[in-house]
Amino acid sequence: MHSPKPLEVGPFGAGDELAKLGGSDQATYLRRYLEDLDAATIVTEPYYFDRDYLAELAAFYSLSAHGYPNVCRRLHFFSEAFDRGELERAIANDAAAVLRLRASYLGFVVVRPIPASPLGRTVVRWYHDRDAASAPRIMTPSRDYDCHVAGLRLTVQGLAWQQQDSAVGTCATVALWSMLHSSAIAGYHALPTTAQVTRAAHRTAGSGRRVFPNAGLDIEQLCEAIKEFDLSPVVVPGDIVRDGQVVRFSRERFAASCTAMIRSGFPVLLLGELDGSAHATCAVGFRSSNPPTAARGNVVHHDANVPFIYIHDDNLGPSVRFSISTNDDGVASLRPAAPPRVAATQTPDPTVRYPAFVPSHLVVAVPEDLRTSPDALHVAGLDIATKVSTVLQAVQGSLPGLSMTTRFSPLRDYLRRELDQVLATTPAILGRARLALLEHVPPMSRHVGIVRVGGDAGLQFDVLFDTTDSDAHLPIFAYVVYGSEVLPFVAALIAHDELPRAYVVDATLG
Amino acid sequence: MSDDERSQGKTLWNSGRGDPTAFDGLKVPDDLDEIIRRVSKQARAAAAERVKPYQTPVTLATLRYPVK
Repeated sequence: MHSPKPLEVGPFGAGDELAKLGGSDQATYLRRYLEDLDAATIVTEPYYFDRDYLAELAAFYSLSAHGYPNVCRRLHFFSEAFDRGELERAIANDAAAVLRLRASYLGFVVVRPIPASPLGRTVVRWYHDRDAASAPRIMTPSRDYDCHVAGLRLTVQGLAWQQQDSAVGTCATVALWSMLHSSAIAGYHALPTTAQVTRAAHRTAGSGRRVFPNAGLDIEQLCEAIKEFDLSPVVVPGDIVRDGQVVRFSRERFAASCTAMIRSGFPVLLLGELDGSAHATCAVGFRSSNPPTAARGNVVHHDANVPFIYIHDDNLGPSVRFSISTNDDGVASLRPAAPPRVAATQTPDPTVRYPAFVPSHLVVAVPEDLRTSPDALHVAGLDIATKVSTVLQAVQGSLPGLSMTTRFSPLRDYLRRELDQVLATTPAILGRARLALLEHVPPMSRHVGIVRVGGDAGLQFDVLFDTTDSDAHLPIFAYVVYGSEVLPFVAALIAHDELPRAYVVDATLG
Repeated sequence: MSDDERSQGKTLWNSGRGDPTAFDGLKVPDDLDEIIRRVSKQARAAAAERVKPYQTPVTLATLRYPVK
């Protein structure tokens, strides 16, 4: 029986509970991250029975001669400085104290009693987005996590990360575990523990290697594990091929594929090479950017130039900012690029000496009824946009080219959020477009593929695709046209069978 | 968490660059049908070239070692 212990409240800083975890790269990264979130106070729950750790204990550690305990600690971080008295007032439902603690909550770390890898399930708030107005950070896969401390509910938005323990899970297991927490698929399955993820990977794709201690997963095992959780794996290989083998990604293909899925709420497993070894991480967000300039008659991918991608890397920590660059051969690689510091502390940056990661494959878990691949959507979208751009150029040679982006969305979110983002200032058109999509278009699938076409002159039109058929047959439900100048050209191309036939929703101001 | 807080899928268009009025005054020519017929082959060829990076066959057996 564990002896009762009190909650501990103390200042964030040297000698705190986080410092007791040692100077690993992950602990140091978390320290810097929390410093830049202006962390001031740590509340420690001395006993926390963590579902993931209990599964790890049952699967592996319980049979060790070391005698691992079955209970963890949980550290909660706050940006407000407060003492135990304030915590007691909040727990006693003092409204001001509750508000203060909730508003300053930064997240939590579960500390496992595993000396070599103590950092268990960790969710920390994103940095404040200083460029939200001009180039917002896209972090759609994030979700809310509720924690309860003596009846006090605290909420943090993020996506769970943890350090690999190299026994129950390696980088592949924890990357997949993070991915399965995503907002887009959390409602499709029960959240598995790391032990369940590793077992699922071995259930039907046996490699001959033992399950525990785990020595890593093959890409086939990752895909099979995804299927074990009633989801479907989507594999996107790099487009730079030599001798019939996928070598790496070009920048556009990598950025386009990642952003399409992250915009859709799906984290992306990045598989590739790190300093000569195979490595897996989980991409959870990206920094948007203006699209490249499209030459006349051409089409650029809107997200080809995104500068940064945010990655859960078990070697470093959650939401590590990586820059996307290319070498002389056009191969995309990722290097940590820490954002400007907020705090004035001297905590070293463990990402500085981290080698470049060169991705070769992406793997994404999607609901089973979403059958369209991001590649098929890109091909269909680029085909349509290129034909429109070519005709516009032929009509008026001075017109700029177009840009295009893709994503998947539940139909309800397209009707509610996506259309609202475009048409909120013109409610009459918004209502007309929503009703037209429901009353004039054949019943649409639960998820729609969205191709969004625009350019320097603004957003021009969306194309909505059925996602429940095969890539060889990708029906279009509707065109939603916002640009009044472009509308007659889209209609004419459809009439000439140069674009697939589908209903055209007039969402123009005219 | 609100939708805005997650920047749900926002797309940047025309963020102060280029010419936001580029399409203003674009008129439908009387011979649009003829123009479409004339450039259709060129448009299809351009589209076929543009989509090539997204037509890589899916192959799995390229990672020689398990990822760890």
